[in-house]
Amino acid sequence: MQWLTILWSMTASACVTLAVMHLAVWLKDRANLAYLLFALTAAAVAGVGGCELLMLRAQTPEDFGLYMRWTHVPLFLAVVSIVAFVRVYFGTGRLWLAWAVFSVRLAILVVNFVVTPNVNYATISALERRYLPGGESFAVAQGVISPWTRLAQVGSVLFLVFLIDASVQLWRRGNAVERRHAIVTGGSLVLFVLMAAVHTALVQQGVIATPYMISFAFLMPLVVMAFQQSADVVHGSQLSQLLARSQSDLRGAGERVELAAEAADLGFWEWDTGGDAVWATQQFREMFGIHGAEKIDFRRVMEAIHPDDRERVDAAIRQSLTDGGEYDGQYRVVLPDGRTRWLGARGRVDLNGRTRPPLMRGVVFDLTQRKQAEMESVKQRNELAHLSRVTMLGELSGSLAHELNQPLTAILSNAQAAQRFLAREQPELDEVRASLKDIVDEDKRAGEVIHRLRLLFKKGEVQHQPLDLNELVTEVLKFLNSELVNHAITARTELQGNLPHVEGDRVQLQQVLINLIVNGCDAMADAEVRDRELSLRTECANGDGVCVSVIDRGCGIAPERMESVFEPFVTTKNQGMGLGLTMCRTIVSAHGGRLWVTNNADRGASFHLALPARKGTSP
Amino acid sequence: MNPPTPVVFVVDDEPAIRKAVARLMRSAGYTAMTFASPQAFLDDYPQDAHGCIILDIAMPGLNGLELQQALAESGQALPIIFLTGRGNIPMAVRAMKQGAVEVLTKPIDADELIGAVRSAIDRDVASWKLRTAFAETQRRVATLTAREREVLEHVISGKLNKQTAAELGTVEKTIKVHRARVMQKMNVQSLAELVRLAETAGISPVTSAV
Repeated sequence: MQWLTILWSMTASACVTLAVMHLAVWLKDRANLAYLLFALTAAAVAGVGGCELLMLRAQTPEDFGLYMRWTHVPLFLAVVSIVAFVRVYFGTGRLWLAWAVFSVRLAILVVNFVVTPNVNYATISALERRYLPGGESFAVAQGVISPWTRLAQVGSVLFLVFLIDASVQLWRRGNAVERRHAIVTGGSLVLFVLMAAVHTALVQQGVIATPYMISFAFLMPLVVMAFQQSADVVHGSQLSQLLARSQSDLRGAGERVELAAEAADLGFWEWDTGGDAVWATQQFREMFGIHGAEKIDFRRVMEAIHPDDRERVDAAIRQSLTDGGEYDGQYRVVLPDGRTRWLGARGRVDLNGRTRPPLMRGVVFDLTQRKQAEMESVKQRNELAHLSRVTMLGELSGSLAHELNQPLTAILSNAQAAQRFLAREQPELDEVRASLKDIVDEDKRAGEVIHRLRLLFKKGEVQHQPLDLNELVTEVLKFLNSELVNHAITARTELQGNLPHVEGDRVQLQQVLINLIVNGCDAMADAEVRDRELSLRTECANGDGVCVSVIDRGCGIAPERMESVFEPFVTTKNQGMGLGLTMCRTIVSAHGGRLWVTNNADRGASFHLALPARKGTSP
Repeated sequence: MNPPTPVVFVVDDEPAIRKAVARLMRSAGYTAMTFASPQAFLDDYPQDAHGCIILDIAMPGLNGLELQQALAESGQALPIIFLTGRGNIPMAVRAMKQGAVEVLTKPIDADELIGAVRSAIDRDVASWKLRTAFAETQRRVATLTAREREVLEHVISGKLNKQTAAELGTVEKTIKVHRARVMQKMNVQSLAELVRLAETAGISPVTSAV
């Protein structure tokens, strides 16, 4: 075989190989049109190569002209596919330029098949055979160049402009990889077109005597693309390794999460708000009492939630769906067998860039035991508070009996006076009437004393309600009036007006105040009578709290005992268990407040009770 | 001469009790005045008060016992009936030691209280009578001349007119005249009566050097 044939065949087959490779790639990745387009280009160039081989082997001018005419078909396809490839692969290139290239090429093709022998030659008069070493020869046309060649040249220029423009745009826009593409791919294409056009023109003009070598020029982009593709293949395999590793990582992470979820008894769920479908793990289903195979939607989940909590949970979830925030809540779930279970839930909203309906993912966990323990501890605390209150009232029984004795004394005296007024020969009915009125009033007062006492003795539900601490202080002082008188103590009050309300249990806070006042009285038992003064002061604490201070004029507290007075079983008294202040602090803490003691500058100690103000009651 | 109308003074910090006890006193036919605190009583009580005080033992500020003390120190001898809310024995004992008529525990029985008031007022009347008699005797003694007083002192020491005349350096007849004037001024009929009156007035007989 002659070596020219071998050379052209090799070029063409290289092109075909590349075309097949790209086609294969495209078949696996249909979305990537660039592969298909490049395959098309390579195939077209292979066609061009074939035509070139036919031309250099042509025996007559007619054959030469015919082969040249047919060369334009794969050439047209090559140009058009390169333009399309650049548009797709680079994502740049002006559309109007692309259309211009296409139109001119189409025009050339049309003209090519209208005129004879083809668009390049007006006439081909003869073929000249040129000889090469190795006994090889090829045909060169002798004839008149057609004026239509200009059109072909315009087409080549337009094509070049399009390619250069597209590459420059890509360079300007791109990152490092895109810039490499702009230089290498764009550059090789430009060179290919330039070389092909210039060489063709020179051959036609007879300046140089070689066969047409357009397909050879294409070797450059061919190599570049082959290089590019093998780089892509290497990159792809790296990616696939990475993917495999991350998949195994992911699987590992997934298993770890599953293990943790099982160990911690966590239930996972995901809610696609678009299709209203809830995906949930087995643990989730168990917690909600939903059968394993049942399809669930948001409504089904809501139905499982306790009716008292449902509205609150629904509102909270909708809120986080609106603002894309996190959801965090606690609620009860009623199981099919009627049992109630406390759950904690935490969720996160994936807004999907607001292009699709949001997704919500989250985890639920069982809080039943914790809640029960909490409730148990609250119950115990309240029982202890009650116990300590009863003890305290027992210690106060003398004063409390006296408090009740006062109205009874008034009632008896009024009644006996009335009897005497009635027994007179001329009964004094006005006095009798006045006596009866006073009896009624005093009886009511006695009733109030008993009512207050009963409230304090009662072991009732702790009820948190808005309270005015000034009112509470006044009430407690009234309640302890006898105790104060008995200790010859003068009570003074400095109550700040417009005090914000606090939230709390009236009885428990009364208990704290009574305890502090009685302690203050005891602290002054050995003081001179004229010094026995107890002050109660209310004020707004710094920030958003309310503070009550019980200020005595006793002997104060030794600095090292400032904290130990709040410890259980620490007492200075003969009677009592030493639980009073401990209980006070427990109660105050449960109210979110603070109880502490300071020594006064002159004499005695002050107990301070600070409670957070109730929201929305600022003066 | 009749004693002035007695008044029952009620001192208690508890308005309802004050009112009720005052009413009880009225029902027993006494006039009552009420005071809200020991201090108010000290500030406002009439100086020539007669009757008695019903006083609550435990009160804020000055208490009942302290009022009792204050009154005793100022020479006011109104009898006091104490009311106590609870059986505070040490306080009751102190009250009795300081001369209280009675200590009653609330709630008070009307008969007990009225009985106590009656005896307190009787005590006050008796003491008034005593004080009135003493004052009258003193007044009468004050009308005697110095010579008449000397004669009186000799008479009550049981000396005869003759002896007295000798000791005072005068004659028996003059002594007789003086003696008649003394009997007349002191408004007595008998020697025994004169002796008793002189004793009330604190006039001591002459101690004879003989």
